[in-house]
Amino acid sequence: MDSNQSSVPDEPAADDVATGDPDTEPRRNFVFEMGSLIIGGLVGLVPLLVGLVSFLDPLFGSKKKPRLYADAGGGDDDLIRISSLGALEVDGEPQRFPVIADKQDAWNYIPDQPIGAVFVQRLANDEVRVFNATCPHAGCSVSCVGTAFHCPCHNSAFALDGSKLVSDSGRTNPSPRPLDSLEVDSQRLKEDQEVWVKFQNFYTGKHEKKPKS
Amino acid sequence: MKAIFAKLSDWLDDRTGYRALAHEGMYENIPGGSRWIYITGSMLVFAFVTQAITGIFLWMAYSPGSQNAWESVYHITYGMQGGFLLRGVHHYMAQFMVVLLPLHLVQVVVCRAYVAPREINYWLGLVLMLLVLGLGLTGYLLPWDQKGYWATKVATELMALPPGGEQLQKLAVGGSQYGHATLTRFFAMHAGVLPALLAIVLGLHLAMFRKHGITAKSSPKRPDEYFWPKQVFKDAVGCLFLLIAALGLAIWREAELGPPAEPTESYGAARPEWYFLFLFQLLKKFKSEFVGAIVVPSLVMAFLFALPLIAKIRFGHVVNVVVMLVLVIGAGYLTYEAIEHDNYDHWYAEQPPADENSPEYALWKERVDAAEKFHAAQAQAHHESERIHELIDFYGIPRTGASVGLVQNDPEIQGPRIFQRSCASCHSYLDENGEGIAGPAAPADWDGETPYAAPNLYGFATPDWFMRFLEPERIVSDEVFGLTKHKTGMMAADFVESELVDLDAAGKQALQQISEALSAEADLIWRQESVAKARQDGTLDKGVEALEIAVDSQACTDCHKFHDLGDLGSAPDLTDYGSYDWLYQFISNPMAERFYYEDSNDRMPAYAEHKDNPALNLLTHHELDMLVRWLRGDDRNLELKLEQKAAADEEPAGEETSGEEAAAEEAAAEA
Repeated sequence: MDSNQSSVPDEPAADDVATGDPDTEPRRNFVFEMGSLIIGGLVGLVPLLVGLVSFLDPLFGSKKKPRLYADAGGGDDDLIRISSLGALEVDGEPQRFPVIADKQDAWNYIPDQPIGAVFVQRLANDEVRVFNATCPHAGCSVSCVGTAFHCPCHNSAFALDGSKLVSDSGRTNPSPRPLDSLEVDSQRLKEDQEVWVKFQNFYTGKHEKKPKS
Repeated sequence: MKAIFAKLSDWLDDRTGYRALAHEGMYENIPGGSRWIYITGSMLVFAFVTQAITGIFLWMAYSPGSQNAWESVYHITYGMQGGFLLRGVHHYMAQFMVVLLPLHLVQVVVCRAYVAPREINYWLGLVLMLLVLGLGLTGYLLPWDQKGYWATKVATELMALPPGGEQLQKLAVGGSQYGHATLTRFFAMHAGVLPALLAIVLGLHLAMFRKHGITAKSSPKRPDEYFWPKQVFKDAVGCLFLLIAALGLAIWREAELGPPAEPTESYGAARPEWYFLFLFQLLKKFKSEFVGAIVVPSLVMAFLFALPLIAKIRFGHVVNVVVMLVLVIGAGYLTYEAIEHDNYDHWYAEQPPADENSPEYALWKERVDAAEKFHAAQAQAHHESERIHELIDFYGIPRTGASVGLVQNDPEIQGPRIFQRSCASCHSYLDENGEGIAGPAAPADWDGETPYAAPNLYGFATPDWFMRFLEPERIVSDEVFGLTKHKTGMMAADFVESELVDLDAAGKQALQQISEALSAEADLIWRQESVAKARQDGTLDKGVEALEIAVDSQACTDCHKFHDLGDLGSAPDLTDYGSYDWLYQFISNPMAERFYYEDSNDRMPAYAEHKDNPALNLLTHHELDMLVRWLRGDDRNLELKLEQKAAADEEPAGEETSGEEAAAEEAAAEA
């Protein structure tokens, strides 16, 4: 809007040929000028603000689960079943499993969707180690080749215990921290012989392991 | 501080020359001074800017596509913070633009601002008007609700009328059917092509307006003024008024989102957005759609474009003004008439023409009926909208979208539809107030004896349902056996009408108990509490006992089977009467041994007797499922499903089908 242009000289240029002369009533003009600026600014800003409120929804908006799933588990902070213990060989290679949980995707609510992947390695009879398959460097998905984890994007590498590896050529490992280990429910592991994990994603590229909420 | 600003300002001006620009913008001379009537143009610009801003924010949340469009608009409106306001402002500001356009146009014509040398700018204005109308038309479809879907469908159907229109229609729709491509194309037009064109033409329009200046002449009484600050102030106040109105409407009359588009369901309340109602009404005035939809509007547009040329003729301007006013009044009248016809039942229902045989009376009747249908369709859409709200709060929106995923699978929406087309030719479904689905009307030559209709199925398998069959005055009433051959059958004539006529209090109580016990067989989820209560206080046991006690010479179980008592073949099985499986099998084949065996059935067709070849069945499994669940009221209260789910969760894992579906599948497998 024209009315938003505030930095206007107060008097018309000397060579202006217009017959009108607003400067004859300076006080009244001041009222109109301020009124124009305030109202003009307001009408320009309000639509923008209305839009911004909904634009900022991801930061401040609340999510509501459908009633049917409200009491059920499967949310981000809940334990998720990954596998039975019997499916894993003791001291075997880490196995990649999809993480299946209900997914709220903007307007869609989709039960039992893959929401991530984990590596599970059975160390002893009732001891497992679980890593989030996301590379802590920049969020690519790591793969496991026999004795180590590799990230195809920027060549991060991790030992089977998750610690950072330095490559043979001495190239630096870009990952700021070891692979992100995940908490395993020890009770279910021992009693039910099942691997249940508190699945979390973490902010990548940082030294500290900070969960995304 | 001030010095720094001055320096910065100088620096900027040296490089951009912004002062001269701003000066040119602000100090335009207005002959005769600022006026309130000049604000329409600025208000239109403001409205367009608002639409652009709110539109871009809506764009960030909207997803075109037939499984996403309605769903994302639903999410904007009900899921995102402030989304209803954003959508509301966009919705109402669009309507304000359409109101302001003719005002601006009439003003330009009346003030002679369209004649030489301003013809080109006038034509640009008309192009702007068409662009805005195009934005309105394309935007109306985007929510993909029933209203927008059907209204826009009519508009694109009409596109095919002129020669070459078929290709044009295909291009607009993105194929021969409405779908994803229609939405992606309409969205690109609405958010990309049309606004870009509008911005360009608007720029030219403004530039040319500046070149020619305001048409008014200065007079000694009204001295000239600059645009800044008084006219700017007036413009700003006008814009503020628009903004407040849009915000107010968005809050107090939230922009509507109807039920999601369903290509298979007609929508009796399909109307274009109100500002296109005059075109809608115009269409009805002509026998040929081609004339009403293409020829007349084209002629009017041609006239509008010709105004500056007509003005060159003597009295041309006067003719222009007069025709212009006639057109505006005509459009206004057509709009009024369209609204009047849709409200005929509300406005004129009490004022029928005196002579019932006059053509006026027939016309009045026709219009009242049509308006009633319109309002019924509106109420139905409103009702379905509310139900869809409930469904979404409960189930969430599946990936298949609200229409396919929720509406198609909801017994409360589908049940009545299936009943209407497959059952209502005999049965009715009317509640205590007589509302619901009417059954067949008596034939004109009905003798009052010959059966022609079947029982009212409202309240199926409730205790009252069974009481209808046990009370002498009710079993032969029109809503039970009164219109079937069962009126003179064993149950009605030989038993209820003879044995149950003069019961004492204890006898009547026994009937109540029987009804309770039989209703418990149906295992209606919404009656579980009352059944549990009846079980506790012994009513059920007494009812079951009463079933086998002979009244005079006959007992229920002499004809009916009830669990271990009695045999099949002579009357419907009372074991599990009204349960999902019972009703499913009954509708599938009422002539089965379990129900009205062979000849005892009175004309009810077997809707799904071909278990091995479902293609031959009158109703599919899905339709039967919807119908049965609706008649039983299984999905009426969704909260009760939570208990069902909790119960199902306790069963061994891997059980995914609900009890009802499992029963149906089992039954299908058995046969």
